[in-house]
Amino acid sequence: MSLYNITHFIEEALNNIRRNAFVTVITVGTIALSFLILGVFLIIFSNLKDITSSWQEQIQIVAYLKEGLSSADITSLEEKIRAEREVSSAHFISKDKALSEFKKDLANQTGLLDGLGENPLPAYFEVKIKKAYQDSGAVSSLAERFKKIKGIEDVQYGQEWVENLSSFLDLMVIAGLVVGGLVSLAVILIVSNTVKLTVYARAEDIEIMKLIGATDWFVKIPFLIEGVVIGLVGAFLSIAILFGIYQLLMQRLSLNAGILLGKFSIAFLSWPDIAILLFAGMLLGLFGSFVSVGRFLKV
Amino acid sequence: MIQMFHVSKYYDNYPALRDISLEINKGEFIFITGPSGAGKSTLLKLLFCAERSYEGQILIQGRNIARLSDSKIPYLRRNMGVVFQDYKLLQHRTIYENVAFTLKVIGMPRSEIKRKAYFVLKQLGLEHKLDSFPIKLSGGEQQRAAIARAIVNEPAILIADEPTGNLDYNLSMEIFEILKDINVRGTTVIVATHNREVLNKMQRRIIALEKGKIVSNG
Repeated sequence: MSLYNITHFIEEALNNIRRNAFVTVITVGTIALSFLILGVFLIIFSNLKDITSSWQEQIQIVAYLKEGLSSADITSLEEKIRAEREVSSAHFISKDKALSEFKKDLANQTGLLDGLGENPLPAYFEVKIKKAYQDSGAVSSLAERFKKIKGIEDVQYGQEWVENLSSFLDLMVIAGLVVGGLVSLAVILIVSNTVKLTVYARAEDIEIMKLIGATDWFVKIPFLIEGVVIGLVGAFLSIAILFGIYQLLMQRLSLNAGILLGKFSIAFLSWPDIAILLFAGMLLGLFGSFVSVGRFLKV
Repeated sequence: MIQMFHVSKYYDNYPALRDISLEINKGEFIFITGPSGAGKSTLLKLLFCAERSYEGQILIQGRNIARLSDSKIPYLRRNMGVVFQDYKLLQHRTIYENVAFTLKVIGMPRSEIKRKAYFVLKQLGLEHKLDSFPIKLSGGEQQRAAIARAIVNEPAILIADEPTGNLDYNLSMEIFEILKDINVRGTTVIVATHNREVLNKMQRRIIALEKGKIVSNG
């Protein structure tokens, strides 16, 4: 393709957008609105995911140790724990440390502890789990293995809570896929059909160009560029509107609900999400144009 | 230049053309005439490949057009200017842009396009309408613009389907004078018309069709 043709195609596409300003504005608006819905969904979904993954990070196993272990025993225990592939970190808490932390937690009722003679609290390991294994099956099987290690008295990991969290996460992923799938399908249909309208409005032009001796690609390429530009601008506009709404909402939230919600905050779309939306806009514009121009080229 | 051998064309079993055989020589100016529905437009459509299914053989400049693949048709059309009764101008483009488009299609350099388009529009008396849109022009002006677009790349053949169908006698004669000029410069001109007055005045070869058959040729 020569430089002459490339300039011609870009010029044609931009002129077409200008010549059909009204249709273009309607199309860009429709695309922006449908992407807005997709964007809102993405924000809700990704924020929910962030919240639940912060919950998941709190999943840990506490392995209480038997009394009277030597420091060499403790070191070998730590090695055994760390050797498990699910373990991301293991932090040793001595008897004394356990007591001082307990005291700290009960700061107002220190009197209660005065009656204690010897320190009754066992030493323990706080074991964090790697992300990939933060589900109830993996955690309980790891806990079972810990129980069998000599020197470990008992193991706790909040079994019920982990199980509930796991099933909630599964449900969320399924709901996300279903809703996201439906929203995406709607966006695909709306955008590609709207782009088609811009082409249908010029079906006669396509026929005339072909009769003059234009090749299929000569007619098609400006429409494809136009589709890409319209899709991209529509998607960009939706992100800009979404960001405006987001800023406004966050201001209101921090003013009115800051106390209620504490440190709660909503994250905007991530850069990869923004890139995906823009790319999807371009691709849908291209696809809509491609399919509809093809229909009128048989002259 | 153009040869047709036993060409028939059917629309849903209805014969639009029946066993047409004719030869048009290079540089000729011929009329195709006949009442509405006689097959004039169909015959022209076969020539510029707007209709592609037919019986028989059509040769244009020695090439059998039935054998042309879809991708080769644009190149045949570039050697052929077509003028339509309804002008078929691109409504969202100026007259200059309409004419220039024909040259852009063949990849002509910009400066050359400007020169040629301006020259042909001046020749047809439209130099003051370069920046006007088709809708702002009278019927006669639109038809002249359509002719300008058809001849700007100096095609070997000019096909005009009822080019004066919407115009009065004086404007019609003006258009035919232009077509005559183009013919004098070497272009083969084929015009479909049922305008008797024009036919009588122009004194050219006439092929008369009736119900899809040639009833007179000469």
